[in-house]
Amino acid sequence: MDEKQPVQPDTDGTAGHKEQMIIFVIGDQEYCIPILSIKEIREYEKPTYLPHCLPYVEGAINIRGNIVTVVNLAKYLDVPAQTDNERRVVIVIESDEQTTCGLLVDGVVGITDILLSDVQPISVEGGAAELSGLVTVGERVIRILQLDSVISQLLGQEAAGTATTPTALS
Amino acid sequence: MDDILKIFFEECDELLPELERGLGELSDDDASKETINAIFRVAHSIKGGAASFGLERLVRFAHTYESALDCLRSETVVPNDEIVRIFFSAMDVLSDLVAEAKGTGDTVDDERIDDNIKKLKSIIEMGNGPEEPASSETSPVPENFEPVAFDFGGFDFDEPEENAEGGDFSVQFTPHSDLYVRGDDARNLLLGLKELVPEEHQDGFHVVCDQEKLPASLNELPAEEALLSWTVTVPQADGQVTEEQIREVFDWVDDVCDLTITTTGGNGPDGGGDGSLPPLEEEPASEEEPPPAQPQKETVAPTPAPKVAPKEEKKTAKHVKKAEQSPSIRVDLNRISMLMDMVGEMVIGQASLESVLEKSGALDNQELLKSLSVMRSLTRDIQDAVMAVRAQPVRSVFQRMHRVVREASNLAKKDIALVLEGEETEIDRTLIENLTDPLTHMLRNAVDHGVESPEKRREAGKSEQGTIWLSAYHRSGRILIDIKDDGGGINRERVFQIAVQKGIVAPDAQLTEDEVNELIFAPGFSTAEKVSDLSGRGVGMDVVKQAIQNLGGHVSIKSTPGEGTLFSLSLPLTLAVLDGMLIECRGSTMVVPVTSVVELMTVKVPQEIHVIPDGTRVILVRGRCIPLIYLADALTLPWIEQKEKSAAKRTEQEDQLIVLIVENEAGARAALVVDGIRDQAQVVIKSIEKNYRRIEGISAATILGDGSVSLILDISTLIAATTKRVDTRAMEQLVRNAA
Amino acid sequence: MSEKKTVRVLTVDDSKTMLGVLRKALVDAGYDVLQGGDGIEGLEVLETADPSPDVIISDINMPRMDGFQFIEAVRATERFRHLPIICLTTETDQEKKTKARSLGATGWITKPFNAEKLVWAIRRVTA
Repeated sequence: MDEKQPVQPDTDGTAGHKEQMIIFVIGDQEYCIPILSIKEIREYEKPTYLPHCLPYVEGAINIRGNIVTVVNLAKYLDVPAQTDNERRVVIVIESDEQTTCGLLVDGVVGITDILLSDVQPISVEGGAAELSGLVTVGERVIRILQLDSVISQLLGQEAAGTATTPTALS
Repeated sequence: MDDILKIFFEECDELLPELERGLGELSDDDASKETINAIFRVAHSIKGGAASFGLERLVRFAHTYESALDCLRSETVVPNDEIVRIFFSAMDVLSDLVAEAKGTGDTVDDERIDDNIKKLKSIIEMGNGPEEPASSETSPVPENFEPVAFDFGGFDFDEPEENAEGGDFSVQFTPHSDLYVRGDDARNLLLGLKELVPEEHQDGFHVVCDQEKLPASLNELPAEEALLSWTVTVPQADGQVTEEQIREVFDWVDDVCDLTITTTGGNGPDGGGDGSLPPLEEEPASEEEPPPAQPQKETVAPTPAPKVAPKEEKKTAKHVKKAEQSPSIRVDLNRISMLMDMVGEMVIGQASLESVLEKSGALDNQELLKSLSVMRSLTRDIQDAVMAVRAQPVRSVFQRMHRVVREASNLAKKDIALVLEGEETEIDRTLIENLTDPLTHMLRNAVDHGVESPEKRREAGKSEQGTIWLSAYHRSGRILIDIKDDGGGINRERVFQIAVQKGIVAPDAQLTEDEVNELIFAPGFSTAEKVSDLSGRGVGMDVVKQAIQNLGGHVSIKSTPGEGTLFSLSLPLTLAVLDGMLIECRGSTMVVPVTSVVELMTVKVPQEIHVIPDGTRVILVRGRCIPLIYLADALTLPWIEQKEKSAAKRTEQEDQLIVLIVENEAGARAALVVDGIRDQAQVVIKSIEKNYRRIEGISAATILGDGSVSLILDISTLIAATTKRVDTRAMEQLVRNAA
Repeated sequence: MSEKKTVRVLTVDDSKTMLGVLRKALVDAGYDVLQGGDGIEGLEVLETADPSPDVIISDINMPRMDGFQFIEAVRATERFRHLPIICLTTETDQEKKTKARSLGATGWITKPFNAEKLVWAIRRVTA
């Protein structure tokens, strides 16, 4: 699971490529991300608050000596989360550039293979940056989360920006 | 092969600064013979290495350079300013040629090379007189120096020389004792001769040993006196063996061995004139054992046996060892980094252990406490030791600045001397690597904007040559690097004007001198009217400031009109750990670097709190007016839970505040209002920016003993943000009134 | 080459490149290689290496302790009195060679050298 893999599914729908996705739930809506971008799934623990942070940033936690930011996906996507949920988990993902972040979700549903050609582009009405497409599995409509934008926003980079944040610390 | 090439380039990176330093000493007239030897070695090593890889252009240039330096070494030429300048300029070419070979630099202009070679040759001519180098005009590398590209794939042997003559060689030799003293052996010579002969002609190879001088009894044999002589018949093997080859075998011993080579007409053993003695040939059955006269070897060893090493002799060996310098080894940097990381984890582990023990109440046990404190100090010592391994003198970066200043002042047509101070000051290696760019930029800036043109300096009554000082020193756990020039100082009016033009400040802004100076660091600010080739390139001082801040450092400016400008960098000694004070603030534990803490005190509310007209709350401490920073508010810490909220509120409403007086490098102070002080601890610095953006007021994070993340405060920015807002005049007024 | 035991060569040079070049060539030729960055390091290795090297190849011009001093020191140690020492040097002038020899150097190789020359020199003293 630790292997470097593209965070984002190839949504061009080239050929009949399949991608294994993990499905999780926020509120009553299901979302998915490529399973290969996931490093681990851990229980929610209270993070340390980060001053002046974005409203959807929960704070930072320690994962084996690394400081990892936790994003409250419900707030990020601006959808209601389940109330009084004891089973909340943090999905830890790693980007191509090896940026790590945690996604706070209401629960993990399962794993499914998604045919990339089945992915429908999402109609643009504000939600485009956060999601990269929709896919229908049986009756359910599952939204595909755009991981790159989560991470670039965390790092304070513009969506298309390539500004590099120099990191002097190891 | 590539690995070795890599080593070569790495070595060049070490050698070139050494050359630069040596040349610097030459120009300061305090060059010792050792310095000249050292820089000669540099040119020599570069040449030697380059030759191994067939880097012709580099070899050619390095060779000329070396030859020119040789004139200094042999004292046929006495260095003067002009000569040193030639060496400096050629050094730049040398280093560019290295970059060219490495593929990191452009192809060096031939004209520039030739020009420099010509100048170097003028030095050689001075030393040798004009007639000598005339021949090398066409080929700068003398005949005896042929770069041989190293052939790593097998060994190709030279084609045997044709030798029309038939017959055998009769080689007669008598080694002197000294031959053995040097660790050589007649046996080696015999084998060397034997090897010359191709397999199919081995039949014609014969050895006869003359034992005439041997004492009757082997017991009387002087262990190290050479008493034997040999006559060897070496077949010419249809011209495959030449006299020259035979002489080559004796090349190393021509001064300690009598040698006669004669040619005989026929094939077969000849005896070479001492046939009276019984031949001492080894039976051909002995496979690899050499044929020569060695039967005594096992018994007495007239040929000394170096492998015999009696234990007692160790003493002598120890004695010989020169102990004045401690030996050193080279270690892969990754290993040290790994060690460093592990030590970091150990510090955390130590803290975690203590925290668990404390919680379980086990710390009442005195013995446990004692061993815990032993552990703690050991951990600390290990950490210091590892840190010391990583520490390096700033010299390597500083040395590089010579070239920066030289090139920049050439372009700017200014005459500027760079003076280095405190090059021995040690600092963590990671910091050193990251310092090069900011320093380069600041020095270019000093050349471009700091030091005036020669004309202006003359008008101002200064010497035409400007000076830039680059110095490093330690102060209170940090390293300070000063870049000082004796130029015209910052033209504050002009700076302000430009800042207004660029929309950085409002035209009616009232700024202090320091604030105007600070404008130089504002993004998008550049005082250069035309973008010069130097400081231009779209990089401003704001980038420098950012880079220094990323290293956990700060920049400050002092400038006196007409006298010059001083940029001061303050940096942590290491990027890995810091001594922190753990504070509590609205339910969060945070870390304040101990180096910035002045004192801890309590302030009575409301008697001791003053409010100045702009609304800022301040306290007076021994005649100083210090603004309060309500840390929880400054960092927008949220009210987390009801319980905590009431608890925290209560502390704030109580009749006294706990404040931590902190100070930045420039001496500005502020009082942090906190809920409590928990502990003092050594913390391992962890980057936040690796996975998140930069946070105002926070420099990094750390992990506490319980595994939770804690933030490290960036005191400098916190103070700066506060003092920027505060009306300093009102504060001064308050102090005066109080007095 | 006679395959009784692997010949150990101690190489002493202040140039890491040269040490690398030597190592590569020697290892390729089947030798066991030890290294020292100058005379002092060379002595260190010589003292501590087990088994001891069978031959030393040393540069002349080195910082701290140069090749001449190194040769002297090695020769002053009883158990290395007869250990073959080959100087590695670009110095072509006879003076240097004479000096090296008078101090006890067994032979020399002139830089730049090729693998053949190197191996020849070692075999010359360790056969």
